[in-house]
Amino acid sequence: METILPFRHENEKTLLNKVHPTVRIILPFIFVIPFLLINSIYLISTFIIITFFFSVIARLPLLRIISRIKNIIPFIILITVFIPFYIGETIIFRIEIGITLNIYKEGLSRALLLFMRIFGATFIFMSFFSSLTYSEFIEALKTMRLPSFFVGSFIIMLHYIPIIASSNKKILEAQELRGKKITNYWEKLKAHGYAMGKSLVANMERSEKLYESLKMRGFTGKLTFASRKIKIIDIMLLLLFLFITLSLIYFINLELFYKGVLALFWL
Amino acid sequence: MAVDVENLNFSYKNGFSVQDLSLKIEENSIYALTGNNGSGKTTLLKLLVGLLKPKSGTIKIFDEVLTRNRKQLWKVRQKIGFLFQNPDDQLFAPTIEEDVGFGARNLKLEQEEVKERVEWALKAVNLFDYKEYSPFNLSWGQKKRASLAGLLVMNPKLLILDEPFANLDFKSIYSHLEIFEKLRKEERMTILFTTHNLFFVENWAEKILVLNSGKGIFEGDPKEGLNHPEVKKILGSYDEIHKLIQKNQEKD
Repeated sequence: METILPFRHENEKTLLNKVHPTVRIILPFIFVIPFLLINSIYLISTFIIITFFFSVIARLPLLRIISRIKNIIPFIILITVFIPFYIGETIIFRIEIGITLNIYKEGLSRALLLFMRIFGATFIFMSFFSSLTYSEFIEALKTMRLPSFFVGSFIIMLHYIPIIASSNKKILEAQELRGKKITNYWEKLKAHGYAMGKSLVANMERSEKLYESLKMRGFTGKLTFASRKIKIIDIMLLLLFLFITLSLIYFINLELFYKGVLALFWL
Repeated sequence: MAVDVENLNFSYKNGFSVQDLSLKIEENSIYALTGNNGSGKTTLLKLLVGLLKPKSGTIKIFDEVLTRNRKQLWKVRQKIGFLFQNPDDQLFAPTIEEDVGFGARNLKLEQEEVKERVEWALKAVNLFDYKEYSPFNLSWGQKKRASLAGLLVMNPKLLILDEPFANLDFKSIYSHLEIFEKLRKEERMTILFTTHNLFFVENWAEKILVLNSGKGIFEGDPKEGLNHPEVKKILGSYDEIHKLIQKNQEKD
C-alpha cells in the first residue's frame, strides 16, 4: 500500500537505522533552530548543503524527499511573494500598472531569507524524518516523555491521514471520470478542499468505530507502547552535530567562504 | 449456549428498530446472520457486545446476562472477539505487534505472557514475519488477518465477524476460512458472522438468521432458509440473477 506519511518502509535500509529514533528527531532541530534565530542566508545554505550530502551518504530517499518538497514550494512562495512590496525604503524596481508598485531591497532580502528558512527547515526535517518508520517515530515521542494522551491522539490522527488521503484521491478520480477537468495546481487544490470536507464527515463515523473497537479490547483511555534505550553512540552523534553547528556559527566566516567560492567561479 | 437472545427490542432516533428478536447459538457452531443492507445485522451485533443498549429483552453470552455494569461488561467482552468489517477501524498502533498486543495488555497479563500470546496469534493468522510492519504497509487481506490476531490474543470463546469475506480475493477467502476452521476445531470457538454472500450462508453456516427491517424472518437450517418463499423474496437468489443474464444473452 502506498503511504503518504513521510516515513520509511520497514524494509528500506538507511545508514541511520541503528541510531535511536529520538536522536534522529533531535538532529534536525540542532540544524534548524540556529538558522531560525540568526539572520544569515549563508548559514541556512550551509545547513541545506550539509543535509543534502548527509542524505546521499546515509542513503536517505532523496528523490522522494524532493518530490514532496516540490508540493510545498507554491505555499512558501505565497507566504513570501508580497513582502518585497511593503517592507523597506530602498526602491530597486518600480512597476506601473495603473498604480505604482515599488519593490524594496530590504523586503526582497527578507523575503529571500524567509523563503530559505521555510524551505531549509522543511528539507532538513523531511530528510531526517524519512529515516524513521512510523513505529520509530511514535517510540521517539514516547522516549521524549510526552504525555500519553498527546501521543495517543497523535497516533489516531496519523492513522487517519492516509485513510482520508486515499478517500480524497478516490473522490477526485470519480469526479474526473465524470468529466471534471482539473487543469492546474490551484484547481486541484480547490477540488481537494471540497473532497476533504466530505471525507472528514465520513471519517467522524470511522473514528467512532475505532473507539468502539478499542473499547471491545479493554481501552480505558490510556495507550501504552514499548521503547528501547539510548546508547553512547547516539549521544556521540548528537555531540558531533552540535559541534558542527557551533563551529559554523562561531568559528567559520561563512560569508567570506561563500564569496571566495563565488569569486573562484566568476573568475 | 454461546448466545441466547430473547425478545430483544431496540430503536434508533431515526426510527429504525430491532423488534422482538430471539436467537440461540450453540457453542462451537457456525451461525450466519444475513439480510439486505439496512436490515439490522450490524445493529444486532453491536447489541450483542454491549455497544448499544437494548430497550428491552435479555442477552446471555455463555450463560452470563449482559448488563450495563462496566465490570460485568468487560468480563463478558473478554469472551468475545469482534472483527469489524473494515480493518482500518481496528488497527491503530504503530506496528502490528503493538496492535495485536493491545487487548492482551488490557487484560493485565504478565509481559512474558503477552509476548507469548502475540506470537501465537500472529502465527495463527500467518503474519508472524510482518510483526514489525506498520499497518499502513499491509494489504487489505493482511490487515484483516492482523485485526483477527488482535482479537485472538484475548483468547475469546465467541468470534463475531462482520462481513469477514468482503473485499477479499478467492485465495484470501480460502486462507481466512482455513484460519476460522482451525480456530473452531482446535480452540473450540463459536463463530457468528454476517454476510450478504449466499454461498457462505448455504455452505459454511450451520444455522442462519435472516433479518428484514429489524425483524427476524427465519431462523434455522441454511438450505431450508434459502428455499423459504419469504426469504427468497427478500434476499433474491442466484437463480434469479442467472435467469436475468440468460434472458439478456438470448436477446443479443
